Amino acid sequence: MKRTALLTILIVALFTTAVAAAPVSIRVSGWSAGPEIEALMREQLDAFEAQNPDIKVRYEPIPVDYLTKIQVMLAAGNAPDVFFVDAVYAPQFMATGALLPLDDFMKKTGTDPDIYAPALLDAFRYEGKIYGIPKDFNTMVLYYNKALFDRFGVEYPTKDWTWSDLEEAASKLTKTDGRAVDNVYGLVLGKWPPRWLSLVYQNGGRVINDDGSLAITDPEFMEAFRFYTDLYKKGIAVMPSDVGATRERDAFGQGRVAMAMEGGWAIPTLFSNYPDLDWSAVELPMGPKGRGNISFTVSYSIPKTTKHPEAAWKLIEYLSGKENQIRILTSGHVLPSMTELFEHPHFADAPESRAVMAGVPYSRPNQYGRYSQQVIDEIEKAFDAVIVGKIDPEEALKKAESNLKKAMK
Amino acid sequence: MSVRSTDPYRRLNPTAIPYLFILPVILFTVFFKFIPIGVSLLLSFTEYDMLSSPRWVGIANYAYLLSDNDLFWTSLKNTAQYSLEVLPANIAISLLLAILVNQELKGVAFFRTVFYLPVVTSIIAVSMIWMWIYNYQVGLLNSILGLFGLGPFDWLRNPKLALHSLAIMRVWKGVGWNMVIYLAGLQGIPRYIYEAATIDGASAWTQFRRLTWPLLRPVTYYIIVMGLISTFQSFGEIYAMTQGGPLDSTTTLGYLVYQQAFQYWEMGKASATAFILFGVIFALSIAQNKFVSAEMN
Repeated sequence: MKRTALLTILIVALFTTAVAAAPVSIRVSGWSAGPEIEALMREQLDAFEAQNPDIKVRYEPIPVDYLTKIQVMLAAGNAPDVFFVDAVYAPQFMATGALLPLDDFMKKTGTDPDIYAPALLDAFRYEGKIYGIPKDFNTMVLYYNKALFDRFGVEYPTKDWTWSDLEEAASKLTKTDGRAVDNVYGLVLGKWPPRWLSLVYQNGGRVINDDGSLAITDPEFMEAFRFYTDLYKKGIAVMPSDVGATRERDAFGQGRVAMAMEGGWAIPTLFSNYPDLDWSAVELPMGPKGRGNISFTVSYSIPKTTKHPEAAWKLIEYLSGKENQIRILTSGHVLPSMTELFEHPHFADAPESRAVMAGVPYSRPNQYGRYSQQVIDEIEKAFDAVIVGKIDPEEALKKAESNLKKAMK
Repeated sequence: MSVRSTDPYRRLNPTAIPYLFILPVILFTVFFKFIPIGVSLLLSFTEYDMLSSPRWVGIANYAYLLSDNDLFWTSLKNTAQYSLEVLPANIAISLLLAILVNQELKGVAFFRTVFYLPVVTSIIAVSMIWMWIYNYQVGLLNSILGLFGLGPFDWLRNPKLALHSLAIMRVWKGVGWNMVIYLAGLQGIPRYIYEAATIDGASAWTQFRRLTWPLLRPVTYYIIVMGLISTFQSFGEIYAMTQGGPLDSTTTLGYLVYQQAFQYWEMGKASATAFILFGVIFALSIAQNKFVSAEMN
């Protein structure tokens, strides 16, 4: 009799614990930027699960064609409960109502939006609501090769440089009278527009006006575009392929160019792939209208179709919270989106990272309205047309504008 | 008798059994081909970004593409040019190869296999290898040309060269397939015809021109039709090697469909482009059919 009672208790206990522990299961997706980044993500999720035993997280990294896969999953109502949204296509997701606004959750859990750098959070604001919490960011900086500067007796760049300082240094740092493989150039250019649209902002121009109309044939835009492409025509700047490199950071790392305007993402590459290179980085030079930069950021967002919005928010709150941001910033791969952490002691000996962070306050997000991708593609074609096709910059931009106007109807 | 009546297969209508065998294929075709094609036709009359519901816009997508869209017409031109470069070269080389591997030589099976290998290799793998061959600085092709003091050429990044570079690769990839078809055609021509021609004193060239080529005409027709369809749909090599660039010089209709759908979120325009592509291929096939039946009579 005693045994039966004991058994009953045990069975009941078994069932109750099973019910109590039945965890909510959520899925999280991001692109996969290599095994270290994936391992870092798993580490963060494990820490979250340890703190929240009632939530199980399944990590589903997407190695290629991230956007395509997310689009199809959203259309099929099968999207992960938390996923990365790049600022560049965030407007499309927000405008079509694919994402869940986070304001109510933030109020409930007392998350103050002002702890995040405003330039970053603004990328995920639409009609007054917040649709994503920036997880990290990058801006553009001016990388310089100290050895080449020393060799040509040119003073290192400072954050107070202007466009004319840049051009003057580039011409002093160009040496093309020897064998082709020994040629050195002042600057490497990149055709991907976000690499050089900072110049437009430094010239007081815009890509898209606040009302959504195009500003790429405004004089401010045209002048900046002409300044940038003229560096190439004058022979003091090159494309990576001209010096046998695939990427801008490789042309710089191989010592074929003295300077590169590149995102902070090049810092880990330069340290790991070019350990002997003597280099540093400063804020971008100032244009005729002062400072300007582009911030590249990615959010954690929740799709409207999720069945577990509460659990999804809990995960976002954890991932973008202070404890976790400190964990990932010390990993050396990313910069924190919380303004307070810009002063973290980890950055005391990292002038390059500090230069990247200094660009945030005066940056604009890397997004160009609902037609971001078309806008970027058309501007890139205009750049190609000038560099490869030897077309006049203004003519190339007018063509881009007319193509875009048709597509944006 | 009793044995027969309990046999379940005997009780079925005899014509039902073949249908059962092809049922999986029919289901597959209906669910994964016909239904999506039908939905795509409907979508071509809508504006649809895959996130919000489709919005009916009538023929606006077709009007947009056909009236004032430079990129569409460039893509159509690129597609036609690509086919016109790939097909004749493919036919000439595959016929030559077929005649060669049709000889009774030792080890001919080895060559047949080698020439066929590119066909069974994935287009993406082939593209990766050819990107290396075409590489501006370290590529095999420029290294070889360099020995003769030629080049270097920027095969994939020069807007005047890129489409031709893709066409060369595509010919290399495709000749094995047509070689096999021509080989089958050649082996179907009775030997006595050639014997008779030899007795009549016809030279090898005359035999080819007067016998082989005309007798292979149905095969050639088949190759042209299938080749046009497949080159008009080319996508994989462009996606892997040039992404439609530089300066849209390699954007074909197939690639344009992808770009509209998955980069620009314009599923409606992408569907409309796909149906125009279908229309073009359909019209070309009809025209060839008319032309060939007139020829053959």
